[in-house]
Amino acid sequence: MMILDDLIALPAEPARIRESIARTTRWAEESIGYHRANQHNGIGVDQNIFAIIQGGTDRTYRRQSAEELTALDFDGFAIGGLSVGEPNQAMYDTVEWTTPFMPTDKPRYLMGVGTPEDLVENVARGVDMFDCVMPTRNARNGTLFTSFGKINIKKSTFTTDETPIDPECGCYTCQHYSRSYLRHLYRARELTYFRLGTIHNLYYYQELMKGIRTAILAGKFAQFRREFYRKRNENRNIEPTAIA
Amino acid sequence: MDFHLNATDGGARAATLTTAHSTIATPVFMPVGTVGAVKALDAIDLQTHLEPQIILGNTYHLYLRPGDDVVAQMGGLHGFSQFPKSFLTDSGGFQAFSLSDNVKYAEDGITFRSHIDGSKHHFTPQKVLDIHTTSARIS
Ligand SMILES: [Zn+2]
Repeated sequence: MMILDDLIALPAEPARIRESIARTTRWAEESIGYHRANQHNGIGVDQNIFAIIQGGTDRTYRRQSAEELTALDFDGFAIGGLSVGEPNQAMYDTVEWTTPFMPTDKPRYLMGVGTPEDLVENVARGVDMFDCVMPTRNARNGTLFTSFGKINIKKSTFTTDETPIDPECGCYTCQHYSRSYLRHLYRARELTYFRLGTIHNLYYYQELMKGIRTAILAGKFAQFRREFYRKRNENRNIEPTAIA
Repeated sequence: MDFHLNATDGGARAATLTTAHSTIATPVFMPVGTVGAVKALDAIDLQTHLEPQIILGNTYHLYLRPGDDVVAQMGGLHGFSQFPKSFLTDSGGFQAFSLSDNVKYAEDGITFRSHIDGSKHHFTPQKVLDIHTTSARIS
């Protein structure tokens, strides 16, 4: 479970960032004290508590927030306040500046991120956990993720396309249905489409993470990352994979 | 919760996270199930087609609707939703920030209006943890 933090919109004035860090730390102290006392009384014994590092996209402030929070006895730590419209590189830099000040023996969670590219880039910077509405929301909007980038199922090129969304995908949707059928359901605003599109996009994200993990275990993450981009670049003609 | 680092490769890490409800291989992507369901799917779909070991829930949403006390009475988040693996419940700080018209930050917490019916609510760090533990437990 995540504790209450003081989240700010970006870009933010330094004074507002300082206030956010101070408040977030004070609330974290209150939260951890309250939770440990509760556990002592048998409440929330099985539950894990995560603090959320703030600090905008500023290197010094992120370090300060990370140091203040990781001094407290939390089960894990999150990086919050990102993916709120800042440029991709600012997010990557901020994560890169923050993870060195997070414990190596506790999970690191980057909140609200992101695109497949964001997942690969932030794993490279030491993140363990992610969440995002992107695969589910994009599915409902007709944007489907594949190993060669994104496709928009609305496109007329799929009208009589018998192939699955991604020929490399092992999901339920790709095992049973064609791009043509899915395009038709989408255009007919048929509710079945939402389920099928969601299953595919989430499966893609799960497989991406499995591939990343396998590569890390084999000491081949750099190779995996190169291959990931190579496949996307080869198919630039399909759809650019910029943030949606 | 147990966190075991299996391997590192440059800055990248592969670990195993064990909670009361599941064993999670990381890096992990957690599908978002804000109100107790991943949109368009149910827990059986998840278990059959995707097998996630952890999904997100949101206390802000569950507190406003149907109410954390209702969730507790209906078997807790796991029993209510029939998803037996781990839930990571978000605090609602972000939702109050992004969904509410006039969220006010005070020293002891935040005050906001519900995006559902406009009613006024106040979250303190303690209140948020109470909502987390209430919606997780079976009352
Ligand atoms: Zn598929």
